[in-house]
Amino acid sequence: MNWLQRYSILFAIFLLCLLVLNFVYNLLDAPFSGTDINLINRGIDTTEREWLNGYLGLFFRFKFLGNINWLLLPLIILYMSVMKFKKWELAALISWLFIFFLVMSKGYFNMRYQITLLPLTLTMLLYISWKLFDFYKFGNERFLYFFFLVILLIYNDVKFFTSGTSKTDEALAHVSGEIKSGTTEHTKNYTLWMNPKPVQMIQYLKNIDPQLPNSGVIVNNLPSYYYYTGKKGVYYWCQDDVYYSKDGEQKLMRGREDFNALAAFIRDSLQCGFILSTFQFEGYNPLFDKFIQDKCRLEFQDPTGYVLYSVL
Amino acid sequence: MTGTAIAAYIVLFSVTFLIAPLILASLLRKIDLQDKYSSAELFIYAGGGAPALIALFIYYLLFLIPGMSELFYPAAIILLLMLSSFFLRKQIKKMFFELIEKLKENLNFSSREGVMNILFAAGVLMVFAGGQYLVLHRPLVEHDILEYATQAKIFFRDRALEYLPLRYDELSGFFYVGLHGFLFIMLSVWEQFFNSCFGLESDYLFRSMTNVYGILILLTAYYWLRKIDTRLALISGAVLMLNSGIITTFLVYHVDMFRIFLLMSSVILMLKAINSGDRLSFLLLGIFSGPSANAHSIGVFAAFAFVGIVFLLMDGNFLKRVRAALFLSAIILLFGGLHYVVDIFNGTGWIFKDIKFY
Repeated sequence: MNWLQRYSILFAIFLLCLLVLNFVYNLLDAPFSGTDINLINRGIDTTEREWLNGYLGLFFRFKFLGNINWLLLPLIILYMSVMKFKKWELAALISWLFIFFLVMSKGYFNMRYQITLLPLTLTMLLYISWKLFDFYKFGNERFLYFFFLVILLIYNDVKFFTSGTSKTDEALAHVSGEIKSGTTEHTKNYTLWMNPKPVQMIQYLKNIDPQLPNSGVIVNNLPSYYYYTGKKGVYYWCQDDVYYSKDGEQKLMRGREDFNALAAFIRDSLQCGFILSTFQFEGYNPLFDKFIQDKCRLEFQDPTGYVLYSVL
Repeated sequence: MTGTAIAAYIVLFSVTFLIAPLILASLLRKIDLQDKYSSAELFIYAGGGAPALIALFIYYLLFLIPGMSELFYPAAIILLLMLSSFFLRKQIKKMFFELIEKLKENLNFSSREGVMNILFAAGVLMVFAGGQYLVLHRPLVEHDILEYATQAKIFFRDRALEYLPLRYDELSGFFYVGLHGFLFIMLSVWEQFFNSCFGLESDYLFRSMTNVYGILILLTAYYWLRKIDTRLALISGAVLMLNSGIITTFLVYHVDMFRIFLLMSSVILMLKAINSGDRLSFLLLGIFSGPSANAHSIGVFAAFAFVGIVFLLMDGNFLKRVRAALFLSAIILLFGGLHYVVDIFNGTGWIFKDIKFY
């Protein structure tokens, strides 16, 4: 292969990358669809995004997994067609495929499950690229390719890490038509590397006198309450409308559609006078959100986005 | 942030991530009769493996000998480390000097490889320094890590690990939503036991898991790709560190780096076991797949796959392959897989229940 052919191949790879990236970014950046905040938040609210961010998330969930993993697909096919697999390479491929299909089928909705194979995938991508360059007798031109990969990754980082608002806030705004005050403040203060501890809220909660009637707190999926205050609370998650007690899993709102009865139940049976939540979490259950608006009063709000309501 | 807490953290960090790995690497060196592994390779595996084994040891202590005094558990670990150091003193000394020698040999400006190694080492040190800055300044705030940390506080408070159909704590009202084993949580319990000896409360070591295991992932990729070409290995450092997923995972405290390192090591050890067929590789595969399974449910399925792949692809007759698969399964169970057996039959039911995602 002469130098012109080698550079032509590299140029073709770059062009293919740009075309694929442009196509995928367009689909990923399309407007939100539907009203299920959970699906929107997980980035699987449209069929296209369900495939790109979900089932094939390891390759195309660019925001959380980078934008070069998909290259492994064509390269692995090329590698299999021109090279003879060594036994250890076959073992590596089988184990990688097994975990990939497991995550694809059972954990496609969760970015954290998809990240499982990320270091292995990138290592395989680099290994296979290098071996193919060796096979086709590329010299130092191969470093243009690796340099190009680095540029793509930097572009992806700049695109996603510099976007102003959090995904959850955008999703909430889409579903409810507004960003609630406090959430905006939270977004402004929020940085991935210095996400602040809700110090003021922790102090406020610690100061609630446990001897007072109804001093208990319903905690909407915020384990920080338990970790930092050491106080007792009722663990609740509004999305599933489930709270936990020694009798197991219970529904809070189901069967108590009358908000007065619900407030009475919270006060009298659960002995709780407060609900600890965040504006973001409330959006996961419109009924719960409505209960808070109708039957609760904002007691304290922390600049980090934590809110405490008292049940009226 | 107090001086005493930071001093205790430095001591605990050294014990967990330097002394214990050195002891484990020396033990593995002693077992490695055929010299299949280099000192550096063993130290990388031991760097992540030793803390996981400390966590496993605490897990078994709390499960089998619950309710002892607060001092008993850290004392048991320190005693184990001291005894191991005593019996392995010659190997430890040898391993230590071998590692120093390797560092001198590989980090020099006289060769292209040496310069690249220095560049990579400088990058790793920067990541480490940045990570440690975060550890000292960024508290635990995200949901999942606080679930782990709160459950760790409960294990520490009770000094017991009981398998229950519902992981609900009546004293605090806390419900642990996690599905996986407790290995990662036990690292926090270890820190709390250690701190309690000095009347301290901090979670620096638990915060540092993300940083240290992330670096071990970078080292593992670098070590393996360096066998092909040092330039490729250096590129791997850049590609991994510029990937948005890796950056995010480095910045947010979570179990991910811990479990991914264990899984990645297991895959590599499986390849070595298939390639060389030596007993140490099989043993190491089991020792890493067990904690990998305990750390996360994906690791359980991966461990099953490793046993199957070894059975299918290793050299030898049918009986030899069956023996190897059984040996491997037993080691995986002993080193962490047992949790799921108990959890299925005597606990929450693991995945055989209605699963909610938080």
